Amino acid sequence: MDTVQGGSYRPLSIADLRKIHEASLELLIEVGINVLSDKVFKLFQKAGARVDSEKRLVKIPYGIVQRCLQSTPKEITLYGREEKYNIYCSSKSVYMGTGGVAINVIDLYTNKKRKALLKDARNIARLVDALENIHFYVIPTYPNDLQPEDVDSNRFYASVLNTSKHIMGGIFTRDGLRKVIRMAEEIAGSKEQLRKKPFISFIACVMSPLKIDGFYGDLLLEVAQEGLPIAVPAEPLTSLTSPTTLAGTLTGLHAETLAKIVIAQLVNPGTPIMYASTASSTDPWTMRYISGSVEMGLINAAAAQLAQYLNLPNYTTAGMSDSKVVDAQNGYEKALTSLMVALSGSNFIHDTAGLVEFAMTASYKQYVIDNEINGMVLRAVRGIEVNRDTIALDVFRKVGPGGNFVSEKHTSKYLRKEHFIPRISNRKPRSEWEQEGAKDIEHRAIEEAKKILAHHKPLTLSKTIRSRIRKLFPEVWG
Amino acid sequence: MIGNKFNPLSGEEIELIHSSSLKVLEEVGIKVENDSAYEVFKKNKAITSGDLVKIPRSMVLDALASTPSKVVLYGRQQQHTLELEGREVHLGTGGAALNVIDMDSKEPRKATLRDIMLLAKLVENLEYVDFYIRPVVAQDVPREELDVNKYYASMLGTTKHVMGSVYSIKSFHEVKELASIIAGSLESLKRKPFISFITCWMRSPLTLDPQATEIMMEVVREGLPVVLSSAPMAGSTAPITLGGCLVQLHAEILSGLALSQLVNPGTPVIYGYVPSAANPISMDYLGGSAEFGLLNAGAVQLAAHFDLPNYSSAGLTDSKIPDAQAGIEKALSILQVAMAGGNYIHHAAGMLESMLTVSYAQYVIDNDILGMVSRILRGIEINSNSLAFDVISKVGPGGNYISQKHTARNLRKEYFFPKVMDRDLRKEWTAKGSLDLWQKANHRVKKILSDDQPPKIPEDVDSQIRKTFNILIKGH
Repeated sequence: MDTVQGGSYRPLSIADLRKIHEASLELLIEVGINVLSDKVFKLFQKAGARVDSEKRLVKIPYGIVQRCLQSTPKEITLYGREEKYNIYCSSKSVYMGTGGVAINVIDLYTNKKRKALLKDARNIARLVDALENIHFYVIPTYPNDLQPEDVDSNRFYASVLNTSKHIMGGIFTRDGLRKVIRMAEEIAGSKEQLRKKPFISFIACVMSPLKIDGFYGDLLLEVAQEGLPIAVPAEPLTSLTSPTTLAGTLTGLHAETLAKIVIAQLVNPGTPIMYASTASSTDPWTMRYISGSVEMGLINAAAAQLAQYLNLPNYTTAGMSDSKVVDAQNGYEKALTSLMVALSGSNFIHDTAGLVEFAMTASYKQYVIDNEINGMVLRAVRGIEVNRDTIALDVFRKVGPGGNFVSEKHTSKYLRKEHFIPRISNRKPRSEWEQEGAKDIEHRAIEEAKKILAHHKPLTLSKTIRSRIRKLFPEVWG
Repeated sequence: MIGNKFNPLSGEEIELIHSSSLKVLEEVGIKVENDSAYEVFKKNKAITSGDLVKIPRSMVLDALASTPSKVVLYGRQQQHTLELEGREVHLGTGGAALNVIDMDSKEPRKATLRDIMLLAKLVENLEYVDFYIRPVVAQDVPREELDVNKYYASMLGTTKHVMGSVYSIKSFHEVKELASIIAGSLESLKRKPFISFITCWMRSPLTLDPQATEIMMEVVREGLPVVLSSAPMAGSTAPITLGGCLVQLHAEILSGLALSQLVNPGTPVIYGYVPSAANPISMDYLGGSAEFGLLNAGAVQLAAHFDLPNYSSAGLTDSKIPDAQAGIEKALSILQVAMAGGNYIHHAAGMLESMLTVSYAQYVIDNDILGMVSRILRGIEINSNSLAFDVISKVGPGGNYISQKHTARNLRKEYFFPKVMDRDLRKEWTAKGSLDLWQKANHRVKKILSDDQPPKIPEDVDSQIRKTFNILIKGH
């Protein structure tokens, strides 16, 4: 897979970026962050931050931030179990993939909404494995059919059995985290092998505004100590947990993310951590969370720029919709936000496949549709190649005024390189389309998803590894 | 609104395309089967042989120097003025579709003159649609009566700028006279042109359409604004590579600028194009491809580089119905071309099935897309108010912004308020009847069209016009 480079869309100027960065640094030292995790609190204290034990408030001086930014890796490779799926997060490279965690799914066979089960993490992984414009697998669903203590290891194992793309996931228990890491080491061959080529990574959220809670704070510490890649998304919601202005929201987000990066670097300098945003806006009428707004796209495109400003690999959010059905709104909300964030050159854009209805629900058919959107978006990001051969002066000379280019060698040579070839978009004349049943994209996507699930065989694990894992982790299915 | 936020071509690449286009004009030339155009080229020392005209570099450079860098298109109300220059962005309708999907139907039927008037009325009421290109070919009107009637039906419905094509020199003069009556005189029409013309004078590759060229030259002689629109299709009537397609497009338009500026130096012409990429599987026409957006965005850059006002295309889809594919394809191309800074982006509302069909509900759906795109172009405002340091300090860690004055004060400024899209919780949405966007849009169409708005032409002017022309639609 060639790495696509973005960066042609710049919602913020360099001066804007500097203003936001400086305001965030000021926030960290003047207002501070609320730290509920004891371990994290002590870590800050030891590093020389100004702490207020009563209010659990930590004020982070500029020097500490600066030191930690220096030790943060500027490039992170997130490995797949096959080399072609490696993801190189640096500068303005663009990769797009799934996100979660949805508690419901829209079933492929009944086309109805139901609670998500473990089999969904498995089947969606297999679907994603076959879809060429979904580059990584953030485990999208919560298995409602499992005991809470069995969720982490099962979610992870179901995914790894069904896709060799990079797997990232949230974690629900600390014990679960340890099991997942242990299991991944087993699959990688050794502890060192996993650190060398991490094919799994983790997510730990920051609460907005400016708050680090006990569980996620501890989780971040633990993953950082292990030296495995982690994304630390701040999730400010405009007008609710951040100012209504986009710039104010970005200032808060930037401060929160910097605080997390500082924690990771204090505990383990050089540990791979991604600058991350799951920021969104609220509906200006009702003040409720929405996921498909245009302002959400603006904020995440700008967040990628802020990360690039500090030369940090980044994780952002795009490609969601608030529609309940697969209608035009579903299409344009996803397309607009995905295009904006991809053009800004974000490295790891999650949620760009499969989610509907405020990211509460994952939908099988939607993965196939969104794969198409991502393909078009990546084509737009690739842009227009201009050189002597693509300019084709000689072909003009040959074809001449009034001629036709269809049968030229130049045409067959460049056809597939220059033009995106969709899987399910309809491009036929109306008469043919009617003859084939006048299906809309939703129905074509359902058919395609069924076909993939019936036929696609992902690269699985060897029998030896599988039986060893079954022995070590008796709770896992499959 | 200003674009210039998406530039797929670098400055060097633009120069390379330009110099290649000059070479195409000098070495390959254009085919001219129109006597008066041929004479104009010949008289001004272009190299002619047979029906081929090779255009020297100097002629192109002269044309670039005399073509106005700004064209102002007016509406019949002050707020509808469109300044076409730089990376200024305006979005509106387009097309000469044959079919219409009516309200409450998903089946296309033949378009009529009444559709032109009703769609104009609809567009008059859509906040983010800036201008009106007559969207359909009325098939209930004889061809010789069509031009005057379509322009008039449009102006009965909307006071926004009206653009269209004409079939003959005769009907061009009729339309000009019609607009002069409305303006009060030909001079006031020319001072503030609220109508303008599109000419598809070029048949790609590099061949003039004899009749459209004749009409183009006549509009140019009159000094009314005219779009020179070339429509190369990469893979069939242009090279398969996007770079090659842009070279040809640029060469074709430069040849048109040269002709227009030789006929009437300084006349307002608009650098226009509808480039597309053929379906890589079947080589048929495609309106909704990702490459369509890229080509048009690249062409915006070419025009802007030479300070030429431009006319581009975005918002087409190959879907037959307003499904998610329609949403995806429209949003992607409109955003690309708007972020590039297209001055006059047509096809941006109402189209389905490439250019074959328009739908009433689709105009309302697309109006929301255009609203979102406009919000993106406004971007993120950075100043001490928007950075909100004081509010963040006041709310503090773990607090809430909802009841802050800062929130109420900035809400309307910072957020796009959609007209029809759904943001309800699922239970509310179900309680309201589980409507998809198409159904919600149809409600809005009916509300707008049932509103008793008077025709946009005063009664006395209307009766004068009806005395002069055979108007086939009721107004008052």
